[in-house]
Amino acid sequence: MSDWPSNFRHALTERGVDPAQVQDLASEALDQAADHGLAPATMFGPATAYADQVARALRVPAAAPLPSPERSGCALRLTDVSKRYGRRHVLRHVSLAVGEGELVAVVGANGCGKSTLLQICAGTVRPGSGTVERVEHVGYVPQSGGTAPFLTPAEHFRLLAAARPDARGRGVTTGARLAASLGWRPRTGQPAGRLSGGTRQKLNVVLGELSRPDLLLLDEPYQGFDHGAYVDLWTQIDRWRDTGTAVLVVTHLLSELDRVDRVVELDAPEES
Amino acid sequence: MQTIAIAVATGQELRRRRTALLMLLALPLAFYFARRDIPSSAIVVLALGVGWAVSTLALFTTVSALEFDSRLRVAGFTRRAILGGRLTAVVLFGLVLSVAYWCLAVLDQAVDRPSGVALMMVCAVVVGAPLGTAVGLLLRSELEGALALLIVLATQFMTNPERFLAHCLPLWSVRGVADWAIWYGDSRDLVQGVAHGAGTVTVLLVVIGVASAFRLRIHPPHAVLPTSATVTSDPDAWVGGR
Repeated sequence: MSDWPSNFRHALTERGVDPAQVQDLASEALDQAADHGLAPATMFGPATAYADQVARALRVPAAAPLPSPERSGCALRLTDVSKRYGRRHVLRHVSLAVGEGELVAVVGANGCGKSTLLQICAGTVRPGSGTVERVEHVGYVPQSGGTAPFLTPAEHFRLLAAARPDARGRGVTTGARLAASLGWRPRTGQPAGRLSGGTRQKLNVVLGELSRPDLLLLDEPYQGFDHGAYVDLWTQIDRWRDTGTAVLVVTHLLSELDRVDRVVELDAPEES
Repeated sequence: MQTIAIAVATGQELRRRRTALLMLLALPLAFYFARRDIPSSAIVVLALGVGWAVSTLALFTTVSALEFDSRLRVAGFTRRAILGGRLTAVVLFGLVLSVAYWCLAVLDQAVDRPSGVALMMVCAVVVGAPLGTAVGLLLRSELEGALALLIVLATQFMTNPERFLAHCLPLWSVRGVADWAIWYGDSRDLVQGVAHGAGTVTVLLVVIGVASAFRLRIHPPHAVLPTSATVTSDPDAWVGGR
């Protein structure tokens, strides 16, 4: 395809590769294809998929291994939590605990209260009964409404960083680096409302982790992600876990459950 | 610091809603030119139009941000910072708008007390911003909120200022100050108008405080668990650098 080089360059840029490097990578790929007498699409496959591989290969692994954390502490403990809206029991006697450096997945049928459970953990919804104990510093990635459509990613980073005195002044830098780890380089001046659904969701995830919380609550965080971003997200989740952060993730993708430490399945809702 | 960050972000959002801003700019102008042949009345409806535009802007700003504000609360922003920041941005925008319309009124009409006209505009802005915020927090919907403002402000426009009902409506302060600034009333009219504005703002701030206690409430955990000092404080440790 004649558009392969430009698609490749575009995909590399979108995945956070340094623009200065993009042209070299594209030329290199075209030269290799020419050496073999093949079209780049025939040799490397679709430009976007190949760019995905290249961008991931270029990424330097995370910072040096951290001191081995003593993960004895509990970051979240729900005891006998119930919630109902009118006659509808959304949650019934849910108990769970998430330790530091532990990744727990919440699964269940549609409408079984997965998002409500996360909202209760975050504090935006009050449980009808039961107790919630958790660490103070929480990062929350909601399913919807997590971004402001008229703010650019950099403005989001700056705003969220202002929430905590220790994060002020470095929000944009940290946000850009976290975005790069999800294979995304935010463009200057582009408001969130004009980003694609997947990219907006990356922004949503970055905002949740920006202030370095001790407990991270993720409500189906991969919506709209392409395969590469999906893989990057799970790599990032592993990294959070390795650095001692407790992660509670709502998911309906049962194929990934072997990656988590524990699975909590919520019962289907009941009318009373 | 949090309040300033919210005010700056709200200003950035407003700046990008160009079409909405043009509509809001046009609203007082349309009122003004509809009454331009009756000079004194034209200035009053211009100021009321500024109040209407600012309250609508505050309403939409509040409602459209409600979900995101919940996230800001979880991240650590206080209710006071969120609402204070948004109100500050809307009031500043309204005051900038007012300067332009004050120039129009003073240049286009024979105005004996230009400071009085400025005070009318300030009353419209300072009352209009919390009015829109309060309606937004109570109704949580742009359509219902806009209709509520329409009922209140259209009634304000159409009610005879001498009637008791007119005195009960939020922007009566504009008419009260206009008695002094345009219709040569005595200083008692001025004091009554400003006092009405101050009283209305106080009531609206109480409504905002109560409504936001429900809308932007964060339920603290029953107990805060201690964290081990093992989690790195370096945010870059989370990041796979390039």
